[in-house]
Amino acid sequence: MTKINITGLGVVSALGISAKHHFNQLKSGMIGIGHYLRAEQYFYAGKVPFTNQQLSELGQVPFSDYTSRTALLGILAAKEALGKTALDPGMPSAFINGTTVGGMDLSEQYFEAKGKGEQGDAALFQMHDLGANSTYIAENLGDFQYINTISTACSSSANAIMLGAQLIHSGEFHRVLVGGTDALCNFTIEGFKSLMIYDTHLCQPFDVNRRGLNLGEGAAYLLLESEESVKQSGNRCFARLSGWANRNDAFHNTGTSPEGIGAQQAMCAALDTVGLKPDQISYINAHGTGTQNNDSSELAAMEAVFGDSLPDFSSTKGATGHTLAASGAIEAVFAVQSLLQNYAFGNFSIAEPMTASPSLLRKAVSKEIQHVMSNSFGFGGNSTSLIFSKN
Amino acid sequence: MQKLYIHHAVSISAQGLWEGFCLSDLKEKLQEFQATDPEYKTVIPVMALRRMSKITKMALMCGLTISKTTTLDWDAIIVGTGLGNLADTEKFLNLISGSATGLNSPTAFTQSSHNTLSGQIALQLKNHGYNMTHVQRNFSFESALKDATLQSQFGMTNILLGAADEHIPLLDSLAREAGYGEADISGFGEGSSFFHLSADIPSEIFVKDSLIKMKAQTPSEEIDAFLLKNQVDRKSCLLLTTADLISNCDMDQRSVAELVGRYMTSSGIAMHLGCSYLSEQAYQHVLICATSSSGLGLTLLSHE
Repeated sequence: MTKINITGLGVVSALGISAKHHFNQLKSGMIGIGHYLRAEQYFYAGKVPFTNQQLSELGQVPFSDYTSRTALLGILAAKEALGKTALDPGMPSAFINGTTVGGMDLSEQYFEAKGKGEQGDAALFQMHDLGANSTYIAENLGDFQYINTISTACSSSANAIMLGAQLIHSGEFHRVLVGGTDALCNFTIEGFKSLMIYDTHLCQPFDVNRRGLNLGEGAAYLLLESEESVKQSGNRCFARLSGWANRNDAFHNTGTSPEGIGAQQAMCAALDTVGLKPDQISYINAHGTGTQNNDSSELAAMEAVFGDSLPDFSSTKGATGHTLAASGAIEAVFAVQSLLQNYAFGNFSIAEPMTASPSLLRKAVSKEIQHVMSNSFGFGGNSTSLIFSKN
Repeated sequence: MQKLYIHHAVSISAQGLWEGFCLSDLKEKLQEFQATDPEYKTVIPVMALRRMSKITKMALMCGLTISKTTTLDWDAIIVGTGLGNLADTEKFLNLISGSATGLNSPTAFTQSSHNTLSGQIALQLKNHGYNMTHVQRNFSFESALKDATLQSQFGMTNILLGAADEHIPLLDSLAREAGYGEADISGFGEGSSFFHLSADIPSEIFVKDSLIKMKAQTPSEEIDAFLLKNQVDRKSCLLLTTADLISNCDMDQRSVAELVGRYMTSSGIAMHLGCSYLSEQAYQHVLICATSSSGLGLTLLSHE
């Protein structure tokens, strides 16, 4: 099996900026979700505390009314992940991005203007298509020979990570920047409200009385390199991406099956790709959105796969909010931090855990970590499981 | 790359429903490129059909029709779409711009997700395999094909590969506002194409090679280099483009834009048309060329 080295990490979320900062936040139990006044009502969301103007400055790109917030968040995290690594034609490189909303924040402005009977500005649609956002981010980083966007709802960036690993595994590329980005927008907030799974209070993944999710926003990227690429870049390998699989639940467009068939199959197949036994997983960063449906089917699936050896697990979405397409990559960065720092993270917002199992962590725990599993599930039954291993 | 055999193809476009490689007369000189609706209810459950937007219906019709011809279970369902479910997206945007905090129906929201197509096919087939959706502008289909190639390398035997994009009137008004001419706007098209691919089970027609370049030389230079690399005699090869014909190119060529209009994943239907030319043995090879402002995607099909 080709070794997939993880040599760069970048992340921005409601918890702040940078991988190291996120580790400190998670270790100390910080919650990035806050409450905001919106249409004269309070709502909870994991907002990145910077305006688009500030994000442009932080990401060192010119500010424009026509650049989506999704792209700006992406730039910031992608630049951190790439660091000083040069992109050059001698070492074929690709950028694989996951996003679901793209430039929806700008498209909404057009519809709002039209709704008021005003002339809309068609140029606001320049970044509506998801690929435009990936291209914008990539072109601000350097010359990638290949750019692609995965959009499979909430598993988008987990799938982008998997595709990147496979592109290196096949030998076609040696350096692949993978991850995803999604900004908060009315479209998704109203969407999850219409599904009646938007918690009007602070969300509580894996709590008996969980009421739904809080959306968040953010972006995260990982630099994946082949051995050959690492020799050239001289980058330190933080951890390995060792296992991956995508399967489909094929149960319902938005809901998951009670036993989590897709999740079970994805976890088992990911374990198979790396040849690990379930009891070798040290920690699972669960998808754990805080909805009744997801958390119960995910727990059922984990119990089915791991049996009596259910590893420590938690959801970090109580801290970041559900960042949709970005969540898989944000949590992949957390998984790498977990391996680097030997910490399993906690579910700080739980009042009454939905299982008596001590595996459901409520606080961050310092322990030896060898392999971390990270789950991401999305609409359309899309189920992805990734495994990160100590270098 | 290893050969990726094409076993079956189904498409929907302004040309109507194409099933298999043997195509009846092509409709030339079309003035508009709205895809002709087939009898969707022959393969899509009527209850499900009612709430579906056109792109979903087209993709499901193509995907399920291919699936009917075989008893096998797909190892992978991979779809490329440039703009995804535009009608549902527009519908939900209208809903929420009308009532900022009202209680809206979630149907348009849930169906607006780009992976509705691949997800709905899996749902209808109860397929638990690999399920992926690629969205990269003019190279969305090429990227889906690249993924199919990868997955077949990693042992997936039967792959359902598809492309779909729909046209909504909003695209016309946006284009008008952005200064496009009426001739360009009337050329906007839509359609869907699905294929059964396998690297392990041989058939007559196969994908021989593919290339996606984000920054390319001129198309004719790239085509020359690509054909040379694959040792293809240009006289035995038909060039199919998705937009304008390629200048400075002495090969036989035609554009699918005059048959199905222009849409981001029309290289999907170019692949179907290419299979037809190859099965008639009119050519030994077909090269499909999709272009973007600075890049290019090439897909080479061959006959055994």
